[in-house]
Amino acid sequence: MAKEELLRLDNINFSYQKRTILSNISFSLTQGELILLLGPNGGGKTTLLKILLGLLQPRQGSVFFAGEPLTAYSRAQLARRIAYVPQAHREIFAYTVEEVALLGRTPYQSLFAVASAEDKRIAQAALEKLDIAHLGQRCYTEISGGERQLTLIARALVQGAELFIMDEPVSGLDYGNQMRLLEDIGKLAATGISCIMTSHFPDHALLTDCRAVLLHNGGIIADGAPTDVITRNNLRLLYHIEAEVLATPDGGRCFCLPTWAMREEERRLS
Amino acid sequence: MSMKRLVPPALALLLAVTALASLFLGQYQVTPGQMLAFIGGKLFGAGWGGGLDATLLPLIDNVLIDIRLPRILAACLIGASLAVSGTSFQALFINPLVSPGLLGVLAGASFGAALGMILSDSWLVVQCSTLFFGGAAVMAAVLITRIFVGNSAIMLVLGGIISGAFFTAALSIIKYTADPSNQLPAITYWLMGSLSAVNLQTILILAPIMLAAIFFLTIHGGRLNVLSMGEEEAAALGLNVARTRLIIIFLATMASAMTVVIGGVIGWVGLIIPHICRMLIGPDNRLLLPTSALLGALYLLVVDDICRLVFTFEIPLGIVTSLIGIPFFLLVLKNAKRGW
Repeated sequence: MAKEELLRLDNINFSYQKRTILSNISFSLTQGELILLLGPNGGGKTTLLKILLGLLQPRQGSVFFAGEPLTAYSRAQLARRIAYVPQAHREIFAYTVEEVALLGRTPYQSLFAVASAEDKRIAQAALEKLDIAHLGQRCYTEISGGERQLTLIARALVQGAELFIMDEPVSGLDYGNQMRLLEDIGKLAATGISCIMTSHFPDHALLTDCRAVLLHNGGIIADGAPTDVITRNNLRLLYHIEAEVLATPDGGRCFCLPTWAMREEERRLS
Repeated sequence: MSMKRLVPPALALLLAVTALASLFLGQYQVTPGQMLAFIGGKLFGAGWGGGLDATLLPLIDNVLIDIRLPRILAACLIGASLAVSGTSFQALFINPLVSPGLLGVLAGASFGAALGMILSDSWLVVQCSTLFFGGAAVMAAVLITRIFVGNSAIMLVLGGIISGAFFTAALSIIKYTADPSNQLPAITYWLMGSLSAVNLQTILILAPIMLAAIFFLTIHGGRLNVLSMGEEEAAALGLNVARTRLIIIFLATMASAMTVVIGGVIGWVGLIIPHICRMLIGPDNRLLLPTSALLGALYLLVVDDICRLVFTFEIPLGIVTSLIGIPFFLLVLKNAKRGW
């Protein structure tokens, strides 16, 4: 039953100048697992994602991907296995959705980067998988935020990566699109793709079949099933709010109900 | 989609026709018959040019080979170099308002030209000095960025501003100390940009290098697409960002510095041509770069023809490109609401 370990972080420490950003971060991720990283602003989430992508080197500790240290991979090798899905941005140049998705073929292409029929077929398949094939020829600058986010996920699919690193993929979206995207991400995980995503909303973890990892002041304070780790105490510690974690009447789902947000003064007193 | 692919060949054809037509344009009238006979004579030996009066031969040779051909070649090379450099920089810095001078190459080259002019009467010295300081300014920008503020594209822009400001100030010092009766006017006219002083020999030396720079920038189109997504995404897509960026900066700097060597500072081409091309065929740099090169060449060739013909006296090319460039740019801005 034990699934294969895909990613392992061994005692990661990172500091910027003299400020410690991450200390003693260790966890591992198996194939097809979805980890939702929760934590306040400045808690080190983004730094951790950059380390996982190999964009930043930890001061101490190592990251292992498929058994090998991350530093053993070249950029192109890494790009074929780990994809970065940034928060949907407003692109300056009006590339078409298909062109953006095709950029996922970069680690497979030579300098000339001529898109082959095969590349186009792969891009088309990715767009279809996310139900946005009809947007293929539209400008990326003209579609909605949710559609842009799906385009970036399609690009990660085109990369053929086994691990998606997603930086707040649902933050910029409206309520409906947030739920739809969470569902889509859940489906990806079901197809064997592992995901690590950050979010600002504990409810996102409770709504998804995922593992929640809580990051506070650069350290992991809890790691486990969302219903186990999203507790009154942890929410107070992370976000300085009082919140009830309630179950729906049928007991199927839990959700957070914030009751009191502490102000700066109250925080200092408590 | 398929229509877009027809744009570069169509522009190439238009450029060839315009270049040929430009050979006929000028004060001295050359008839098509004379032209044909002259070219035939050049290619197949003197006997071929039967219809050509032998006494006319040196005159036609002078007009076509010494005067018109170098200007046509210079206009095409400069236009293509500036447009391709501008397109590359706009993608590299993810900023559609960037022009080839961003990292200080034009400021450095201007300073180099002015310094050469007050130190020496030799044109070769001026040209070498122009090229050297154009490169030095960009190198300074890159090093300032490396040493003081890190290594991101936005910080490079700051390095470029500092380097550009320094060389602009240094240029002012040169101008201030230059002899106001000869040197100062020469420097000032040079900085306005003109093709009236080009000679075939310089062009033939610089052309292969400029064409090589244009070619290598053009084949980087796919990588520029990736870079225009931002540094982190480009790296996550498998690109060696730092190396690719340096290669592109090096090629664009070489091409831009050489335009100053040939014709002084010619503004706006590197800013507006990329925009017009994006309006024509979209932002995909693989197609955009060759299109920019061809349209840049065509544009500057036409502007130079206007400079030569419309006015009885020669007005500096740089002034005309600016005057034409501004309304064009307003038009571009008006159409840019959907994204660039």
